[in-house]
Amino acid sequence: MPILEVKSLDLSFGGLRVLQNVSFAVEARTITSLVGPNGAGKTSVFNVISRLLKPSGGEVWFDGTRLDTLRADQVARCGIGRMFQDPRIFAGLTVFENAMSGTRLRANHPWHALVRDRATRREWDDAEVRVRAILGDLGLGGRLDDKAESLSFAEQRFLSFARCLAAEPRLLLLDEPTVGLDGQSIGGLIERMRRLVDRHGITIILVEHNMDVVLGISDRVHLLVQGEVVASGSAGEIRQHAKMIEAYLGDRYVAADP
Amino acid sequence: MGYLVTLLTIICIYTMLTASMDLILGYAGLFSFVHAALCGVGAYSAAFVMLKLGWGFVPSALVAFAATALVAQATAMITVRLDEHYFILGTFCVGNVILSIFENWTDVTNGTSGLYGIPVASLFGWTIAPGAPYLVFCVALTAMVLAVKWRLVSAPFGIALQAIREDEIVAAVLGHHVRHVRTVVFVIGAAMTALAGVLLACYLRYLDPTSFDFPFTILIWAALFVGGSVGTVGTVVGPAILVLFPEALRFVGLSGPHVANVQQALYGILLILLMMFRPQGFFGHHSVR
Repeated sequence: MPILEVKSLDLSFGGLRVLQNVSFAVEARTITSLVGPNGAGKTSVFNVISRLLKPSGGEVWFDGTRLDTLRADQVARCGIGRMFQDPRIFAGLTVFENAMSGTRLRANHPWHALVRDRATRREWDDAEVRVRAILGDLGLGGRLDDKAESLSFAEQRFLSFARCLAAEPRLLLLDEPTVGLDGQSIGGLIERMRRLVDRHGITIILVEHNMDVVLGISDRVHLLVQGEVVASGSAGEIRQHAKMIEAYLGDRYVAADP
Repeated sequence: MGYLVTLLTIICIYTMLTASMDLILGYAGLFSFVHAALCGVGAYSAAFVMLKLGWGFVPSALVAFAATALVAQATAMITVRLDEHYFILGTFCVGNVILSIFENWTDVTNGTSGLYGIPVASLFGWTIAPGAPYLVFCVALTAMVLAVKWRLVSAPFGIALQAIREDEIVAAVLGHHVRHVRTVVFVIGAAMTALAGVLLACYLRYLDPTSFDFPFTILIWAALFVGGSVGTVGTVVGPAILVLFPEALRFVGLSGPHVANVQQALYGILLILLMMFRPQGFFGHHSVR
């Protein structure tokens, strides 16, 4: 029983068809990658799932809930986390506040913020402990009170990852999480993704250009070209199709990003 | 002494207005042009029930809260869905509508002649005498408003507000209902301006539409910019500087027919220098773009 089902998704802007009849299903506790050349519609698929864009046709189902009729914040509350291609951290807030912004607590309501009864306080304290642990694990533990804009690009990316995790998502949409990271950081990120899936039962969908990462980590890969899914398979099967990938994407695609 | 009490009372009331502006503009990033008009809704509705029904301070303040919250809710329903610049324009339009109601709904507001003879504040049968007792009363209420504001923004609610200010799309994807949060903070801020309006009504004991026109909103903006947004100290220091600065000029011996013009010019220069060299204000943590 797949946890996410994308059914015959269409998306057009005026006369431009961005997605055409895109369908795929994602099993729980797996890592699925969407690959394809620039402009293939990978990020658009994410935008439709997280409901920043309304599809012109088709449906998106997550664990029994239809997502494409909801608002973006309702989709997030269903347990879907999204990391953008740019870190898009809240520059004016501290590192800790950035990560806390991912939590959804009773104290987000002004009345509970004002009254702060015991249940509100306990939930809030627990969230702070959890957020500190997440930040510590991502190497940001020493910078909790620094303004987020003072972080390096790689740190900002990890912060946006932390912000996602603070919401305790069940499905994570990661848009090119390795861009701008060095080899060591990429290794750390891969290890954490694997751990999230294996130990915490999270499902991940990855848009990624780095084929080493994609083939190393994915349970399933979908190749998207000009808004259509042209090939799907396990990482092994896709590896067999290296020729096809090369034909579509050029050999530059196969090499790791600098 | 009486002079000092007057200045401090004004600073108090402006502090309350600036704190509410900080909540709406500093934390939530909403450039509201309807601020003074909402203060006027509070002031007029309280003055009306005091004059016509003879109610005391507390029930009048409650009426002012309710009326202002209602108007703010309606305003928010129209405007929070608008993008930045259009929000400014939208609130400007609503402000104009409210001002013209002040001017034309003569049965309630007495039009441009204004409402006069507003009684001094009374609390549970006790009259709060003008002067020092009223100042103490204002200080107490302002402290209460600042405490409420601090409690709101130091909780995750405050983080959500700022997240929405910084990037509303990311905030939505993190599960924050942007429109709802904006509406809520706008109404809370409006309730604070209503209280300031009631205090102003009982202090001036006279209201007319020009008390709440756009220059007043701009004055509150200026107070927030000078003091600094996103914080508490700035919302006290800003109004204090703006109220005391012209008075200080008077003491350095500026007098004569041009003093008002010189004051205005110096005031403008102060604001420009501040924008250039300290855009976040004296005690601010965030520069309003």
